[in-house]
Amino acid sequence: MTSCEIEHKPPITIALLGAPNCGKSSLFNALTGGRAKIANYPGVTVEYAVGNFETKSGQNIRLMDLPGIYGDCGHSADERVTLDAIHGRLEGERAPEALIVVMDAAQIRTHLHNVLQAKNYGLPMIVVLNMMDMAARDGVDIDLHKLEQEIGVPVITSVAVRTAGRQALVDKLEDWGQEIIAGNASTPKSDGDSLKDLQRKARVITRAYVTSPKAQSITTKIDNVVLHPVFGPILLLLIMFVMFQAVYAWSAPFISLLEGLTSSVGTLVGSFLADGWFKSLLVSGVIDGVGAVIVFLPQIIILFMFILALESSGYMTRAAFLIDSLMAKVGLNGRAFIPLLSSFACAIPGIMAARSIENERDRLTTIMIAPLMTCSARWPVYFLLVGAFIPSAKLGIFNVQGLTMFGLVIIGVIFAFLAAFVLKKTLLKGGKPTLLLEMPSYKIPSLKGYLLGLWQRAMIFIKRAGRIILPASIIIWFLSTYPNNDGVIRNSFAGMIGRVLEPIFAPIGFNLEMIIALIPAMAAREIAVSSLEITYGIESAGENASAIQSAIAMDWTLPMGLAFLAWFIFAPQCLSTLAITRKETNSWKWPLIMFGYLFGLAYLAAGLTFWGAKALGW
Amino acid sequence: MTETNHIETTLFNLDKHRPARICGFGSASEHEQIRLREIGFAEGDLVEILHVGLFGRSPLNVKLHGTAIAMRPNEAKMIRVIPADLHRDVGVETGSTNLEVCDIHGLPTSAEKPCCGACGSTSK
Repeated sequence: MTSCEIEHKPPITIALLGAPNCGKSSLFNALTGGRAKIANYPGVTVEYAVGNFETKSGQNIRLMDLPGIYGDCGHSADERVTLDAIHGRLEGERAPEALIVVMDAAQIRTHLHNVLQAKNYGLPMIVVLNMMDMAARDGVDIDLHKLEQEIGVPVITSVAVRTAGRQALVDKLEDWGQEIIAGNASTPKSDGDSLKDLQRKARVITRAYVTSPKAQSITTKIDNVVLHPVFGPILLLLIMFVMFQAVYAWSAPFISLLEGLTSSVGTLVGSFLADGWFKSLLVSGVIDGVGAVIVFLPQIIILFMFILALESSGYMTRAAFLIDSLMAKVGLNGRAFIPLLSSFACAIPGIMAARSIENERDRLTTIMIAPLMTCSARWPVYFLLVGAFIPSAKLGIFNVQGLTMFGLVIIGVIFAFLAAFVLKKTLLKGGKPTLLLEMPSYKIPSLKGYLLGLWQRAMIFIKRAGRIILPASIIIWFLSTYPNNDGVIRNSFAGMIGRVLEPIFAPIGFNLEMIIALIPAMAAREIAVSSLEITYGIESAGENASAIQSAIAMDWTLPMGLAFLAWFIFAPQCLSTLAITRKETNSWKWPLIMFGYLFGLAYLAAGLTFWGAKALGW
Repeated sequence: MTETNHIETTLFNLDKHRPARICGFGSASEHEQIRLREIGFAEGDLVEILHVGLFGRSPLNVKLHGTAIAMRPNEAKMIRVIPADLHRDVGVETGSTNLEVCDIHGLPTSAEKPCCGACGSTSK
């Protein structure tokens, strides 16, 4: 073989297999530079991902990250993704040449039988004992040499999040990769199919070669407080409370900074340009439209500072535990918690995460209520309206605006539970109440991983501004400026479209600008903010355009503002959510029902709020 | 329901912080049994209820080896256990390697009624 041939070695594919939350995605990200979402709870990964890893000698290895599985039955859709991948049934992917079976080193006693079971796939494999540092912290002692002998495949230790912790694996991949290409990597001998026999064998091995500490672990000690029947729920409420207070208390200086920046950029750009359509497009369309949303970046970042900390610490499964009895009462599957939690960032990953729910009816119920969680695209709308209509006063030690945000989120959750209750009594009767959720050990997240996660969230927000809000702003600017270009929205194209819808929305108190904002918000909810900014900016002929909050506070009555807020709690306005529902349910029926019931709720809520507030004389 | 064995109970009925050994999956269907086994429960394993919810013991946080697993009452009711203090293996963490604890370490039940036979009508 010449050196040239070595240069063109075809890449081999190695799949990462293992129980949920054992650190496969962390390892994947660390080795491939990938950006798969990681958090400290089971069921984060529900789709496969492929990334490249190059060994020192230049061998290219394709690593495949897979959803965690406990066995080889494929009970739920995410588990079936993994099994399909291993058996080469994924479209456009051939079966992997080898397996890296990842196991949480602190959990060998619980999960070793899963590793023995993996030998049945008949592929060359190695075992990676991950999170060795955590296992050491908890006082787990492992006789590695004996363990390797008993399992019959190479065992490598790792701390996926540290470079030094991955060295042994990187070295192993060097030689092992060669063996796999050459086709002489050994395949393990099966220990049989019976789960019970595998468990028996696993117990014999772990009893002999793995000693666990007798003392209560730190995790249990923390849980004694966090899961306390009385203090636990109080702590959960307290954490949420502090989160919403912080979003307001900490963000104010940054927001005024960004607002100042946006308006200076607008003025600066405006001063260079002669009055005309181009200046109007750039200042009233692009800068104001995009700027209106971007100014809320600090609040989004603070929000995710909390969410990411909670996710990576392991607290989220405790939250699931604390509200499970409530979820059980409305007929929700315990597994629904994690998809619903993901929906706070965005309903799309949330709806996909529902794949981890085995029962089809329970999965559908979860999908149907996911859009009621307050996704991050709604935040700019809430920020704008709460800022305009709720006084920034203090109620005792609490910021009233923060309290209102908290209330808006809670209303969404309450109605999600009510919707689930109704669905489980009608369309989606049946299903078995299950939870079976592993509670991970608490971890202090690595600063690097934490900051990277935060950066990713911020970039998602900013990229949406570029990719969706910018073009939408230009379209809105065009539609609300022409054909007359007289600063009267009613006479513009946008006004004409709005007037068609006026008979529907006028009864619930929406004016023309609000109605116009609803339409582009179908692409992304936060465009409602840009749309209002642009339409009001055009009407005021570019003056005070960045003062959108005061503009709507002057133009709208309080009942109108509250009605618009109420609308956005329920608004079924996100085409991508409907599209992913179509894909995940493989039918038009469910997205249509979703749109219908959310539209109905939004309309009723807005109407009741409008007329209720009016009746109160607000 | 008549209890055929006085010391055997379900995980659901087990006292908090009282370690017990699993002796079977009485009322679980084959499918449910697989799910319980896959996540790590096996005959002979020591389990302990660490935390329970405020109302009606729902959910339960169950210690299994170094892991804790949250479950609902219906799942806990499928797991048959014998409190470790009533078991001959008392306190022996590295006890039997045979999963049929009940067969080997004959409990104070009559010979013609081995305890695993009492685990429920559906057990083999």
